[in-house]
Amino acid sequence: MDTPSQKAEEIQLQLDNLRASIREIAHEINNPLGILRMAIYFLESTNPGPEKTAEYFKVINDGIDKIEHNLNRLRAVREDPTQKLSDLPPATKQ
Amino acid sequence: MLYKKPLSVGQVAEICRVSKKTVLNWIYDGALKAFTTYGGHYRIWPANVKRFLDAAGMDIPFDFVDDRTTHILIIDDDQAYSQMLRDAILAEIASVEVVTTDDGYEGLMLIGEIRPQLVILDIKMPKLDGFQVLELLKTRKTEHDMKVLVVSGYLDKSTKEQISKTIAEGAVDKLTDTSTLLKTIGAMLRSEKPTVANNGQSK
Repeated sequence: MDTPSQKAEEIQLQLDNLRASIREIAHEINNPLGILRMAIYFLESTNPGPEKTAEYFKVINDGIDKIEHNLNRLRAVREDPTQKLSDLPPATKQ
Repeated sequence: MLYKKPLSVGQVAEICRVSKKTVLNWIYDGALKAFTTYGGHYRIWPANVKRFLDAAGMDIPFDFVDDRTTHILIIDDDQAYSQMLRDAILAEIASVEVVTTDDGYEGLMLIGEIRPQLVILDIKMPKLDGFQVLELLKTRKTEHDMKVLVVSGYLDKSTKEQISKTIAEGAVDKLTDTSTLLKTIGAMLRSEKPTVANNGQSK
C-alpha cells in the first residue's frame, strides 16, 4: 500500500503530465488557428485570383483537419485515461 | 556628398567633426548603432548616422540613400504558416524580400548569407529549436543590424520569461491578428521597439 507521501508524489506526477499535455495541445491547436486567421485576413483584405483563393481554401481545410486531429487525441485520452497524449501521434505540420 | 554604403568610424568622425575616440564612445554607449565586420572593424549604416544626428540634435547636413534591400528571414518548421506570413508581408510591406526555411541550422546559414534586417523565429522546431537558435545568434548579432521577433504557437508565462532573457526584441503569439502582426513587423523594420506581443500585450 502506498504511503501518503508516495500518493502525493504520484498525484504531483499526474498533475505535471496533465500540464505538459495541456501545453502541448494548446500549441498544436494554436498553430493551425494562426494559419486560419491569416488565410481569412487574405480572403477579406486582398482580392486574390481564383488560383490563390483555391490555395487559401486548401490551407483552411488542412488547418481544420489538424485541429480535428488534435481534438481526437484529447477524446482518446478522455475515453481511456491510461492513454498518454504524448503517445498519440501529433498531426503532421505540412 | 551622398552616402550609400556603411561608413567607417573615421568617416563618421569627419562628418561630425569629432575624434574617432568620441565616435567609438558613442558606439560603446549604444547611442550610435554600429555593426562589426569580420575583420573586427565597426561600420555604421547611413540611416543610423542620420538617426543619431537627429536624436543628438546635431545640426549637420547629411545626405544619404540607404541602398539596403530589406530582407526578412522566417525560420519556422510549419511551412504552411511561413508561406502565409510571407504572402502577407509581401502584400502589405513595400520593398522587402522574404526568405523562408523550416530548419534552424539552415536559418543560421541564411543569416550569414542574406544578412536579414529581421528574423522571424518559431520556438518549437525539431533539430534546433528557437531558443538554441537565439543562443547561437547571441554571438553573431553584432555583425549587422538585425532584429529578432519570436512568433510562437503557444506563449505561456514561462516561455515569455525565457524569451525576455534572450536577444529577441519581441514575441507574438501565432494567434495574434494578422494586421497587428504586420504592424509589429513594420515597426521593427523601422527600428521601433515592438509594441505588441501575445495578442496585443507588451513583451
